[in-house]
Amino acid sequence: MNQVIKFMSGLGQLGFFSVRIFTTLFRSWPEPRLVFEQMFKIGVETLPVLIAVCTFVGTNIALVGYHIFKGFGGQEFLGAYVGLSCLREMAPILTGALMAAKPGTDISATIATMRVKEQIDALEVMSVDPFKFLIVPRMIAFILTAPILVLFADFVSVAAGFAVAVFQLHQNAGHFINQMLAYVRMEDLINGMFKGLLFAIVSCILSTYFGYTSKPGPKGVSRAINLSVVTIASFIVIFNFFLTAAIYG
Amino acid sequence: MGENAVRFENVRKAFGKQVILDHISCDVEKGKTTVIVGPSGTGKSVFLKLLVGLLKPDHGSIYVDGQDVTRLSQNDLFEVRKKFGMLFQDGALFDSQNVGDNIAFPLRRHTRKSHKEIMKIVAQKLDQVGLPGIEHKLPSELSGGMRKRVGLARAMALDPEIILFDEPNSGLDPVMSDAIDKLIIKTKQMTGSTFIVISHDIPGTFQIADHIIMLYKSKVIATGTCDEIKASTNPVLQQFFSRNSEIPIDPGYATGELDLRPYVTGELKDNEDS
Ligand SMILES: Nc1ncnc2c1ncn2[C@@H]1O[C@H](COP(=O)(O)OP(=O)(O)O)[C@@H](O)[C@H]1O
Ligand SMILES: [Mg+2]
Repeated sequence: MNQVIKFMSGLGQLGFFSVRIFTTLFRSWPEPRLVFEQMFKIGVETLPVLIAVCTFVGTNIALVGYHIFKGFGGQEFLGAYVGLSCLREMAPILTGALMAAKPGTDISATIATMRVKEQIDALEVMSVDPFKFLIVPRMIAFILTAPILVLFADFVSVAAGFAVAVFQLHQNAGHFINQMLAYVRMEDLINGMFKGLLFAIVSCILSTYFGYTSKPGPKGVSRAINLSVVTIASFIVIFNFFLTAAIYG
Repeated sequence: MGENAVRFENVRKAFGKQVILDHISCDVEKGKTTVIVGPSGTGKSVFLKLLVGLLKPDHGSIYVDGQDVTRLSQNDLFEVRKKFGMLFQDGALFDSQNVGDNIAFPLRRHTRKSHKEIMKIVAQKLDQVGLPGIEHKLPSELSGGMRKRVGLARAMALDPEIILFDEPNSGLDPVMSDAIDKLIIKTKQMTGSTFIVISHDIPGTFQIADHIIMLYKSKVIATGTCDEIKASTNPVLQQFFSRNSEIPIDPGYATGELDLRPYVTGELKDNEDS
């Protein structure tokens, strides 16, 4: 019973926290320099891993798809299959997961450390709103970079799938592309970017929240990081199901 | 008694069922150094956090220059806080910024001064705390005592009316601790601001204090000048001050910090009404 009450009050707190982020965001735009700093960090931290992971996810989607389709002679659908699964599902999920894993944990750790070392209190005493100075710039950076990162993930995973189809499975390159273009629509690309954006917003809220509400001591910091990764990863997978169901039925 | 800079009226603060401060009423005179003493864990830091509005009391009022900070909106609170400079227990410097940027931080946020003017003020403040020319060092390259000095320089950057010190002596060796006390006295003479210092270092307290407020078991049990406190017959005070100031600092106790908890809690009777 106690646990339930704790959980519910935690949810309420999280709600207030999110509302405060967005009211701060809409009331006053932070300094662009703070946002660019964060965007740069997110890019540098996420892109290399994202490219590596998307490459190998793209290759596997092509391989698995090929062997399934070959069973009933449907190899010609490989292009459409790779395109749709990468753009609709894999690219946004991987982008969200990696943004949670790299810049997300970084945010939790930084903000938790600042909380524990009284630096957030110091900000407040110096009349600087920590939401405006610490959290909103990170939120805006997440919002601006997520769709771009999804585009990168789209391109890399589809290109990797294409390479496997053509060079390893000896499929016709022109046919692969034509198939893909026939089935993949602009909405798939946009929906994927939109999903990535939602995942990024959620990642940013949760990782700043767990950092901001960190308990004192080194244990508090590691707990903050742990909680944010576990919560975000589970959340993204579950949320993704409902999004996909809502968009594609 | 002169004008009050700060006034607590019947303030109470509890975390859950744990009552930290209760029936706290006291005044802090303008332009004087008031030291708040008490064993660790009595809520001295909570007292300061209530004063700057980082925590809200359960009830009671806290006046700063006649304005009740417990009833202010976030924006008004940010305005009132510009009157304060605060030195946190470990300095609370921003790790990613060098010393110069740390001290310049409040200046860049709240003034329209040029970069050159700001760097001049930074150099001047660093000079005042006895650390000239270390603008380019990172906080991680500094010793605990140096971090506190830089923290003080940052707290003084905007020439605040009230400067708060949370245990400026904790974690320092006796020599450094004495140096910080001397620095507080010097800064006090130079600025003429109101100083509120939290301490459980007794010799230091008598050195720097104009007034002393003693917290014990969530209450204010005594207020007065150094002489009044020294002359008090309250057994808790006597135990706290006269006896403990006789205790030599144990050289094995590397921090040189006097933790009074073992001497005050437990064996003593609560004797607030004397
Ligand atoms: N934000 C908080 N939440 C819960 N308990 C707190 C909080 N801040 C302080 N406390 C508790 O209040 C008591 C007094 O703390 P503090 O003011 O730091 O003591 P000190 O006199 O040593 O500075 C401690 O028992 C501490 O655990
Ligand atoms: Mg304290």
